[in-house]
Amino acid sequence: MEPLLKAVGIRKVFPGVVALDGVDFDVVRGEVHGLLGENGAGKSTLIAIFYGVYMPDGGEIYINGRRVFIKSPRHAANLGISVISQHFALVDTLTVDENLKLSGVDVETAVKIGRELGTELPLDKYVGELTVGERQRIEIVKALARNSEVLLMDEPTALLSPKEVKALLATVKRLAEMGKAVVFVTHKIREAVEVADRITVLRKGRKVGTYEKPFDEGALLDAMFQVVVQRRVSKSSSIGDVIYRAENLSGERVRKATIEARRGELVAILGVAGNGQEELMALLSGFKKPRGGKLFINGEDVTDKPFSEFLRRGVAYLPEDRGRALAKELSVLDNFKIRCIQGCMEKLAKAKEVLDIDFPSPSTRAAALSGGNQQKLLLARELWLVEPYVLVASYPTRGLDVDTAERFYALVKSAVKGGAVVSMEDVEEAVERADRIYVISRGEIVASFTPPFDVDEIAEAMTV
Amino acid sequence: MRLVQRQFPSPLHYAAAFLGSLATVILIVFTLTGDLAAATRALATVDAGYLFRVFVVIGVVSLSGVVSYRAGLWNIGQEGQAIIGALAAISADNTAEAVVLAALAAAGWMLIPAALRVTAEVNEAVTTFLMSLAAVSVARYFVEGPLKDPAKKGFIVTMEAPYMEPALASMLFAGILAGVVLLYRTRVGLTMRLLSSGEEIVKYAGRSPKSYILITLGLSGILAGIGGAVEITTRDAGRYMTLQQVSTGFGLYGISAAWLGGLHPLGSVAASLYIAWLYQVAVNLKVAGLPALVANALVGAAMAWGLAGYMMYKYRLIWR
Amino acid sequence: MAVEVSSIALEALKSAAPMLLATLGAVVGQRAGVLNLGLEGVVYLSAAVAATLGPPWGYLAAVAVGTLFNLLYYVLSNDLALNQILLGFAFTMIGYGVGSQLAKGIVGKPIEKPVVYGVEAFAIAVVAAAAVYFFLRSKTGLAIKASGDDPASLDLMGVDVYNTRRVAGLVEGVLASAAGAYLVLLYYGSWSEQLVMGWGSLAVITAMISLWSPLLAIAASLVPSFFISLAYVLQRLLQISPHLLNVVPYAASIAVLAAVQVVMRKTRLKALAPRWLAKPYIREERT
Repeated sequence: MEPLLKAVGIRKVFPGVVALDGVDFDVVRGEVHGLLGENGAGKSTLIAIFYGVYMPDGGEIYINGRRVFIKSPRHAANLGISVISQHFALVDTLTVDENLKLSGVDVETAVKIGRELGTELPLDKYVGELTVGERQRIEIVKALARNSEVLLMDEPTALLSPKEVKALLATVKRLAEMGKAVVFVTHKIREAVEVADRITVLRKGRKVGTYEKPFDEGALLDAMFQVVVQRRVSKSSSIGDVIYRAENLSGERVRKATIEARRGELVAILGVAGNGQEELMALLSGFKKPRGGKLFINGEDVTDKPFSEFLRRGVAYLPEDRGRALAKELSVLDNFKIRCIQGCMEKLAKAKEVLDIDFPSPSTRAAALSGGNQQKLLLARELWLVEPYVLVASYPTRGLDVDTAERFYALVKSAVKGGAVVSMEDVEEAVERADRIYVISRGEIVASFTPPFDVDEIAEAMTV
Repeated sequence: MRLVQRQFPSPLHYAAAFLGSLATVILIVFTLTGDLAAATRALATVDAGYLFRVFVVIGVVSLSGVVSYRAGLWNIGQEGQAIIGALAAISADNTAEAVVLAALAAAGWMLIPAALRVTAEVNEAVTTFLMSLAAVSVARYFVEGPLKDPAKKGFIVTMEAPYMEPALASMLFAGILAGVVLLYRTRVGLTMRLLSSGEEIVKYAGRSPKSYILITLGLSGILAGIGGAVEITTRDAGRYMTLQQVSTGFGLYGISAAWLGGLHPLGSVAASLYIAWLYQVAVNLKVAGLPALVANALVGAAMAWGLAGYMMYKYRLIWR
Repeated sequence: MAVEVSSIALEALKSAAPMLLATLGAVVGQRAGVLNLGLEGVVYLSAAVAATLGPPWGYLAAVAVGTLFNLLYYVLSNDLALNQILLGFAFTMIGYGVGSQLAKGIVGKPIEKPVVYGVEAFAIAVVAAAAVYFFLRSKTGLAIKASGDDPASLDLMGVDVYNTRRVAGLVEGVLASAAGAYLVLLYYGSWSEQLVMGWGSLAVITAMISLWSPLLAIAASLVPSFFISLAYVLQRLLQISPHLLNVVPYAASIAVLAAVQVVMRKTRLKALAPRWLAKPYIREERT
């Protein structure tokens, strides 16, 4: 059967990095084709090319056998391609109804399609008021209402709760039954195996192979990673007394958070995205002032002190939004100098080596580095250079490949002198790395677990 | 048509922008005079002493722009700050006092936009621009009132400002330039540059964004004020203001030089020389009968090219 | 005293009409995320064109020239991503330069001015405000609002952000240049270099005061106009220097804006501000 969408030899280069190097890909009608690869492998770039956001520097694209040059998202939409990405094509400050009109979708048709998929569209609500799952459903309905034949889904389960993930995977299968061609991008092998008919694995911008059912998870794992990474389950041997304590912290979204971290401990804050973790980390690090509650470092009350005081006491903060910690317009060296006082050129060179950070020169703009390298630069500065007493990190391994994530945890072990509080999205990661797990839901800490961990019990607590 | 980031920023494109600006200027002059001989005269006539003086003034004001824009703050009220500085100079007895008073007065004039930005997040571009329009009226009030020269009966004119030797002016300029260059080597200068990437990152670095906004805008205002004082005190004759002649236009010139110089202290000095030459051309045109504001068109076009140069330095244009 | 108050009020209405038109233009542009400080230059230039050609051709030419000038600004600052704020300043300077040269022959000469009643003129401007209000609720208007709040999502939807902003620039240009033409041909009835200065800038600030709502703009535009007329009238009554009185509209507008912003930040009204105001949007930016 002639593929609906076919790409041959796609190549894409950004300043300082080759994102895609001669990748072939195709998808047929009625199929779910999984695009698997670890973070940074090039999956999102390929999708962006299919959706006209980037133009390839090499290679050809065919739709129904005809060669096309996809120049813009509008052009892609005209060609029957829709994308459901982590960045929704929805404007928060407009209502669902207005968003549909802007997208050129007939509202009545959309409502009908919504019902077919089993959902009622909340037309008069502002998109800003909806949950992630609800917004995603609107995106899917929009794509169908536009009579799209090809649906590109980029990490659709990233921000969903376990229950919503199940619902989504079922919807994806239904879409294929309806005759659509679905490209399902993910870095989670289990998901790909559950929903896909075929799986293509990308690694460092190259296609490793395309696999048919039945899938061999081990083979897929090997294909994704060059070396089978030894996930060292590194737990602390000795845990000391409480060095960091938050009591009944509250902010805009956070309602009542009480957390303790002991010397030598790695504490995980686990929860489905959107439950207040980001604000909690900002509060815990002293970057944001709480509305209520108290914070203690080594028993001393530090609530309401300025951030500079927290820095002085050895608190390091890794925010989920790198723009808070990295000046995109300034050079790598200047960014390093935010914490470095003397001998910065040498120290930077050393850090580059130790953490394997990729950048052409110290005077390169920070914005030119890839996301992963920007994160590594942050780790170099806040962990390796500073050697903090307490680390407060918000989703530090998000978007990082396994190798770098491993380096992060090793660095926490070696460079952090006291303890660490880290927020995570992945239950497995928490179980593997943490000495204590707090579960956050709707802004409150609802449960706390110590080893031995029961994964199911923890997942249950997350859905409360 | 798309804009794609360059792998390595390309300073060569600044040269292209400069040439573009030159071409535009020549074109405008030819269009306005409509006569080859007159145009050439306008472009080629140069009074070296006058040019040097203008270069120094524009140079000082351009540093005001560099300090502000490098921090991502948009002070476009240099014209008004310069006027206030000139007024302060008029009221002074000697050049040292003139410079100090000008700095203080300009800082005071800058206080409102800076305070509003810090407390109410009011856009400083809008406030500084409006205040520079208001400065003209304030100056006229002083011309008719407190600073009026009673000796010149029948003429509404201020008292004279003290005289500053060109040598002294150039030393002052050099000192300010050195100061700015050194500033950017310190942590304070680094923090000012951090500000252009957002207030949050300044906070993250452990400093107070509000304090730095105040300091940067204040410094920018002070430099423009000093520029205004230098302008009026280095005039060979006529070191006073009249009701008609309040505004000198050097605010715009300084801003343009800052951009054409790539927001780099040394670059803007070079650009100031070019803009000084444009000013000379405008004066030549004025002698030929064109209105004074024509200079604005020339220099505004030059600045637009400066902005384009900044863009081309970072981005590549792809037509597809 | 009653006579003074009503004469101030009538004067205010006469000047409120062009102020409202220019403000409406700024509202549309800022809603689209563009902080156009070149509006001052657009108003000035179109006023100069109107003065030079005189009625009736002056009206049309003013609008044509002003709109094209504004459109050029939009292309340079959006499609080519030149610094919005500084480019606006440059355009204002260019507008001053070209405008003053164009109209230099007309300086001081009276222009035949039809008798216009403040209330009539203002009523027409109010109709324009209503038209803008409905425009902003249309599909194009929604796109404009989206381009000011979240251009990335708008682009993903398949609606061209740059095109949307150009439409906003067109509307802004028409309104602002109409204001410029009005100022010369219907309000002042003459031309001098400094006459029309400040109106465009005040419109930019009034758009912010009206929280980007065309209906609120109707009330907001009375603020600067009231103070302009107050200065005018007070000149005849009091002994304060006319120059200081000229400062009043600027000071008052800045004060009102500051007050509005303080209130806005403390309340939910913050949501009304276009989130991408003055931020450049470049489609291929890789974060």
